[in-house]
Amino acid sequence: MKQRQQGVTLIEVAIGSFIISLLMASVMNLFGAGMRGSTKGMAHLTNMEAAAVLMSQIEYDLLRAVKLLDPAPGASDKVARWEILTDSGNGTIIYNLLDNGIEREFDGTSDDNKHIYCKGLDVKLAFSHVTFAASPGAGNKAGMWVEISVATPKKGGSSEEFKMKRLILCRNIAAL
Amino acid sequence: MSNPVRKHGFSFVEILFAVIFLGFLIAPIFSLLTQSSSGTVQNRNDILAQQHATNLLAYAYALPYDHAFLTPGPARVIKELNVTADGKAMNLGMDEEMFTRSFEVDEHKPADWPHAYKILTVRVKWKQANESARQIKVAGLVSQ
Repeated sequence: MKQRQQGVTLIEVAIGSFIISLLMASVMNLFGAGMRGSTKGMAHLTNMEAAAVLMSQIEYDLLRAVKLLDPAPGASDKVARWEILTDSGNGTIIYNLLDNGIEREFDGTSDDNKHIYCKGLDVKLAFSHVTFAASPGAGNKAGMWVEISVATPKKGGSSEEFKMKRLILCRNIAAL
Repeated sequence: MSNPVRKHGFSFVEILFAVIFLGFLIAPIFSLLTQSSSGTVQNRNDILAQQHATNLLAYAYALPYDHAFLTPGPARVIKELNVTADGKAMNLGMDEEMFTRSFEVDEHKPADWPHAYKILTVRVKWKQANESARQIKVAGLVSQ
């Protein structure tokens, strides 16, 4: 009985791996595109979340504001300062634009705290102190026009950006 | 004694089935990746719609009770809205094409109450990626 040779020849292996590599290349291509889209989406989500959190903190602080100190009425600035009323007395809120985020400082009579929002992101911020003329005898209303732009630091030329703009009326400020 | 020659290896059909089966396993991974980005878009639209509705309402609150902008009437569409306060120009319009924003003012004068009041309703509608319609409604009240 003749012994039959078992196994695969080198040619067979070569052709097999060539076909597999072709298949894998197309799959990896597809996967890479998907991953790039996903990373982009994640970056956008991070920006959105950071902008929304910062904006709601600003809104909450402005609703409690009793006196807008900076910027002056009619002026715009990237830094803002106003007085708020808390359970433990008056305090000052300061928003300050840093290189890697936005610092919110609360300077109160009994407690102080600092926090950096949008840390590690490229942020642009503009506060505009606006006054709305009301009906005669009723006094004017003060508000703040807030513009935020949050972007992920540039990596390989592409950068994701998310912008928000809000008009926030200071309901706690008596008619001017 | 003859040993029947046993065929080794897979047949073409077997490999075909295996590849199709693997394809079915991999497909959900791709759909997961696409879903995550459509989720982000949905999230962004929700935030922007909320912003457009609140901005319009904040502007309405800033105005005097009898201002022309607060004239009672049926819902009207407001896409562009450029306002100036104190020399500062603000663009309260919507940059995104997909949104439709409507504003409705309804005045009430109760007989047993000395003050009239207006109910302001802002609706923002848009179409989601899967073509389903979505809308948010924010309402507020101004009084004399």
